[in-house]
Amino acid sequence: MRTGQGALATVPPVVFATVLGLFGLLAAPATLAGPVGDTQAELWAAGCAACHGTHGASVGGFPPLAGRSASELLALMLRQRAGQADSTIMHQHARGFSEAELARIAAVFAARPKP
Amino acid sequence: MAGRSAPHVVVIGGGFAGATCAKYLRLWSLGTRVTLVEREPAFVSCPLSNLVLGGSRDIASLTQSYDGLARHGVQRVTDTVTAIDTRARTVRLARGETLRYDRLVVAPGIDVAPEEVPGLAAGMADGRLLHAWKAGPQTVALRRQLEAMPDGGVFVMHIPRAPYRCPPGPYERACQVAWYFRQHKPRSKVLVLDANDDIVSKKGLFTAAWNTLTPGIVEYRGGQELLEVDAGRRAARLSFGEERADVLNVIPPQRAGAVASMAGLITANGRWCGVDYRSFESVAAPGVHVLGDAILAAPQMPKSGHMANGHAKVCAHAIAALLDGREPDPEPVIGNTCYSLVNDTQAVHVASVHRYNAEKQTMLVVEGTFGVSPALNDREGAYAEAWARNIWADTLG
Repeated sequence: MRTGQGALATVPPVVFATVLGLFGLLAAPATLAGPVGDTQAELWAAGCAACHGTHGASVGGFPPLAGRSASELLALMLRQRAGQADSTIMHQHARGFSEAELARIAAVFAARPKP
Repeated sequence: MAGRSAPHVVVIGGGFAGATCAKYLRLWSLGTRVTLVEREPAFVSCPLSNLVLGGSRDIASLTQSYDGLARHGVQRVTDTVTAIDTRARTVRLARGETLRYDRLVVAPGIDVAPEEVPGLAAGMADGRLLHAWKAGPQTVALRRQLEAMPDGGVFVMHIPRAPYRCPPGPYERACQVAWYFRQHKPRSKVLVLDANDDIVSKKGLFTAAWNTLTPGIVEYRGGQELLEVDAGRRAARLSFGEERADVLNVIPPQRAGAVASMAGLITANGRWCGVDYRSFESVAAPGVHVLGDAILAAPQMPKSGHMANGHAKVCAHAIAALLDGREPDPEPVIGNTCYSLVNDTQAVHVASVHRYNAEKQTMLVVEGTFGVSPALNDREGAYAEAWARNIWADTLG
């Protein structure tokens, strides 16, 4: 499996391997984060949770999103959306939203505590 | 609490739809009391369950506890629903308790309808014919039938007309059984008889898997209407003749789970429940929401666990708004991702994003979002496992 590219570009391979190994055992997503105010974007962001964990606190295998910089997440999704990043499915999901909507989704995750 | 008591939402069904909805209701509407009614003591994942047939997973690895929901304040009742009164807003349970609700969420999944094929119900009743289309004891029993089959035998599977639960599932099953045969019973065959005219999902990828991973084992025939089953002779009578099997696996026609008809929610073809996709509120019963495989899906919306998890969030979000005196999101978006494992390490995906269209009053695929993997690959094999762990945790944890 390739790591350190595309969807995983911001997660170094060592961290990714740790996430795969550790979180699979711990398997307890953060659940304390309350509403962030933009309830529509919160619903969109909840869609990401199926793969990236509740509130973006992945239990392993996909990079966590919670607590990451909004500008970094937005830039990554825009590259995926444009087909400029190595991705398996994220280019498809990112195309479901406008740039302004992706920015609001990124803001929801940025406001969450890091897992 | 001062004043009126907290609103009560009763959720029936603890699958990907119901359990997710119960959890997210508590995340988004802390003042709401949520009761989840589920008859089974534990959750068994249909996704990945074909790997039990292939031999690379056991059923215990797909079984998850409901205990995590308690951390969110979801009250869980292990019981069977016997009656629903949508006027009095009550749900009666087998052990005698009656639950009163302000809003009801019905997420019963599918029921199989073997009575639609002569001979099928009788064969299923005595345990000779297994569908294994709900993960659990049937999955394990079908694996045992495959293990007991002599090398050189034929596994015959029949696929019902769409829509049915998990469109790529039968073809993934053919891959998994063929993978098992290739390693342990290489003279055996898999015969796929499909009531649909052609492979309904990921056609190129499944065909590639059969041709390259298990060459010569899988034979596929489309347009095969099943007229009758003879469980004793393990025979399937089709519009174009009869096929005998060493292991016969008929995936029966399907409809919304029985709870849906109990509440008068079935509005389409006598099978599925029509909903308003902005809130998943039933078109037949105000205050009652229907989720998951039981709904009449919008065009190109598959009956999948991922979709059910997405329905649940839109519904929980809408109920939280409605209980708060606000309008639901007028334009909800739901993504879908379905991985199929083609052997013990490789997978392929189909994914899409669906957005509510106010003018057409349905959900439509957003342009540019629908697509499948370019090829069979190991990377998505790992992602498929990661997807399962994350969606189980998102649904139950």
